[in-house]
Amino acid sequence: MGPTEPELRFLPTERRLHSPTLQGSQHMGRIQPVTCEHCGKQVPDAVFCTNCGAHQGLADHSIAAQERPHHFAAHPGEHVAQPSIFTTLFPHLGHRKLQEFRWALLLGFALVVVLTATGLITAAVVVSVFLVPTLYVVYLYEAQVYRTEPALVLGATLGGGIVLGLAVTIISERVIGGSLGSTGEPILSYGVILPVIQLIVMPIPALLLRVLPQFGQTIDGLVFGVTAGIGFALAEGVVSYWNILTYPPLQPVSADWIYPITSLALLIPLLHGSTAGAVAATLWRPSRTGSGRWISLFGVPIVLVAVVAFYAGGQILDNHGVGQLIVLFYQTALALLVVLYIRQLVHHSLIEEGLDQAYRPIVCPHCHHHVMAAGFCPSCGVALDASPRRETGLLPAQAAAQTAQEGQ
Amino acid sequence: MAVTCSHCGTVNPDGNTICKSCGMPLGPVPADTAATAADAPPPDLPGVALPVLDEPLAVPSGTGSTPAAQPNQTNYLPPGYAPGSSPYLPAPASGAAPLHRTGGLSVIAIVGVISLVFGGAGAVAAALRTGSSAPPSGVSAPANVPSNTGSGSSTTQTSTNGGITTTPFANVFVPPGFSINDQGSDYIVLTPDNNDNGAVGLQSEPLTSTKTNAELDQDLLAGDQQNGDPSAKICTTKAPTHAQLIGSGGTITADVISICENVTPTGGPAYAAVDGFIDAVAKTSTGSLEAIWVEIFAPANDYQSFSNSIPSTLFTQTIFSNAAPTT
Repeated sequence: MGPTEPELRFLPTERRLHSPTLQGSQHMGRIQPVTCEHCGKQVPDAVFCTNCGAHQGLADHSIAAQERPHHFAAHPGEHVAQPSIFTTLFPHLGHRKLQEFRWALLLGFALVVVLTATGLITAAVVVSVFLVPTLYVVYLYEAQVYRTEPALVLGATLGGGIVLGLAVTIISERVIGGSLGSTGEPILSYGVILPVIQLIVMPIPALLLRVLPQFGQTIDGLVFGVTAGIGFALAEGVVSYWNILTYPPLQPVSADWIYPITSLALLIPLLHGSTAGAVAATLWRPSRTGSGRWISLFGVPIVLVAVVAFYAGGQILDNHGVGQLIVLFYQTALALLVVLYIRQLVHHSLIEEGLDQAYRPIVCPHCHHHVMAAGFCPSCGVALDASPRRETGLLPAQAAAQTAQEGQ
Repeated sequence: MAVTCSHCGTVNPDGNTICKSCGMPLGPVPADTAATAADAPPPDLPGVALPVLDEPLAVPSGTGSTPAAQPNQTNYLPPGYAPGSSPYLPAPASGAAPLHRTGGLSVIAIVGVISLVFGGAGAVAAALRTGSSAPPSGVSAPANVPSNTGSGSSTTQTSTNGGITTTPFANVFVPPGFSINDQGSDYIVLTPDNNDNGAVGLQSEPLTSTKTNAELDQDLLAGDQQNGDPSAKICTTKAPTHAQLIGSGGTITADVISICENVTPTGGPAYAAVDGFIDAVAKTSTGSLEAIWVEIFAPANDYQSFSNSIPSTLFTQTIFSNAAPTT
C-alpha cells in the first residue's frame, strides 16, 4: 500500500498506541498537522482532535468518533454509559485526585460504620450528615469552579440549599406529619408531593447564578445544582434526626441503624445532589442545539419519575415487608439512573460547548501531559471545560510560546 | 548498535531515535521529563503509552516529507505555536504552579479530620445527654395517646418519686413526675403530673396467630382506624424504625411507628394527634406469641416535646413479664 498521507494518518492500526510519535518512523520524524474529519480544522496530530474532541483514531465519517461514547468527555477512560458517581458529580477532578476523593469518602463512611457498630449513633449521625457536604466543599475548592467569587457561589448554592432544606423539611414535618387533614395518603404525601416539592425547590439557588455570564457552561449548572442539592440534604438530615442529635437513642441496635445511616450518609446526598444537578444542568442552556438539546428535553421527566419511584416505591416495598437491603439497592439503582442521564447530558454539552476555543499551553489535569490544547486535551481527550478553573501547572504563555518557537 | 528502550525494554535498531514499540524517545531521559512521564500514566487508556517530549521531533534532512498545507492555521493556532509540531510541550519547569490546589492526600486528611471532629462532638454530646430524659429508643417521634384505654379500674396513683409498679403483664417503672392514670390486667396508662395532654400506655395482648412486627404495626394502625379516626395513617417512615423493649427473657427488637390521626373528644373540637408505638411480637414461656408495646400519645403540636420529656428509665427499667425474643 502506498504511503499516501490520509491513509497513513488515520489508519486505526497506526493509532493503536495513541502516540503521535508512532508516525515518526513513517514520516521520518516529522509530526504532521492533520485536518480533523469531523470539524474540518487543522489541528495538531494527536489521538483526539483538540478542537472538537473527536477520536482521531477511528474510521472516517464515524459518528461514534465524533460523539466518542467510549470516552466520557469529563473522564475519557470511562464509557459515557458507565454509572460512575464520582466522575459524573465531581467532573472537574483529574484521574489522581479522583482516587483521593474516593478514598476520602470510603474512609469517612468506614468511620460511620464503625461508630454505628459501636453504638455511637449520635456521632454516626453527625458524621453522616456532614460527610458528603464536606467532601463537596473540598471539591469546589480544588476545582475552583466558582472562579473568583467563592462567597457568592457557595452562599447561593450551598447556603441557599441549606436554608431551603431547613424550611421545606420543617414545614413539611409540620404540615404532613402534624395534621393529616390536607395531606391524604402517606404515600401520596411523602412519596409524591413532598419529593416533587423538593425537586422544584432544590435547584433554585443554583439557577439564580445562571444570569451571571461567567457561568455559562452546562457543567457549571450541574456543579451548582449538585451543591445546592447536597446543602438541601444536609439540612434535611439535621431536621429529620434532630431528636437523635439532642436525645441519644436508647439501647441502639446497630444492625437496625446501618441502613438509615447509609441512606443518610450516601443515598440521600446522592439523590438530592444528582436530581438538583440534573434539573439545573437541563435548564442551564435551553437554547442548546444539537443532540444536547434533545437530551435536555428528557431531563425533568426522568428525574421526576426517578424521585417518585425512589420515595413512593421504597415506601411501598417497605410496607410489603421487603428487606431494607433490597430497598436500599432499589433506591440506589434509581439514583444511578439519574447519574446516567447526567452523564449523557454533560458529555454532549461538553462536546458541543468545547468547540472553537483558543489555544493555550496547559498541563492536562487528567493525563498530566503538558500540551498545546484548545477545547480538548489532544492526548487523553478530556474536555478542558471539565478541568479546574485556574491556570494549573501552566507555564507562562509567553515562555510557552518561546519554547515552542525554539523547538522549530 | 542496538538501543534498548528505557521505557518498555524493546530492542531497537541502531539509529532509531524513537522506540518502535512504544513511541518513547530513545536515549537518556532528562530528569524533568522522566518525572512527568512517571506522573502521567495514561490513567484510563490501557496499553496506551503517551510520550512527553523534551522538544519537538526534528525533521531528518532529505526526507522529502513536508507538512501538509495548513489553511487557516495562522488564525487558528496561537502566536508562537508552530504549525505542524507536536502538541506535546516540554514538561513544566519545576517552579510552575502546582497542578492541583489540594496537595497529595490532603483531601483524605481534611475529610478525615473533619469527620473525626464531628464524630467526637457527636459522641460527647451523646455522653452528656446520658442519664437525662430521652425519647424511646432510636426513634424519630413516636407518641400514643391511650385514646381508647378500655375499661380499667381507673385507680390513680401518684408516683412523683418514681418506682416499680407490678402488674400481671409487666413490672412497670413509673418515672418521677408521672402518675398511673388507668390500669388493667393487661395495660397501664401513665400521665404526667403537670397536666400535659400527653399520656403513655403499656400493654400486652396474646396473639392467636403468628405475626411479624410489621404485621403487628398494621394491626395497631387498624385498631386506631377502627376505634378512633378512620383516616389515621402512618405519619412517616423516614426515621429509623426499630428499638428494643426489655422482656423477662431478654431484649426484644421492636418496631417504632407513628400514626397521625384526628381525635374528636366528647363535646370538644377535633384536633390532630400523633399516636406512637414501640411494638414487638414476643414469645411466652409456653411458646405462644403475644404482642407487647409502649404507646405514646399527644396532640400533634406537643408530641415531639412530650415524647422527649419521657425519661429513658421508663424503657430501661420496665420489664415485660413472660416475654422473650421470638428468635
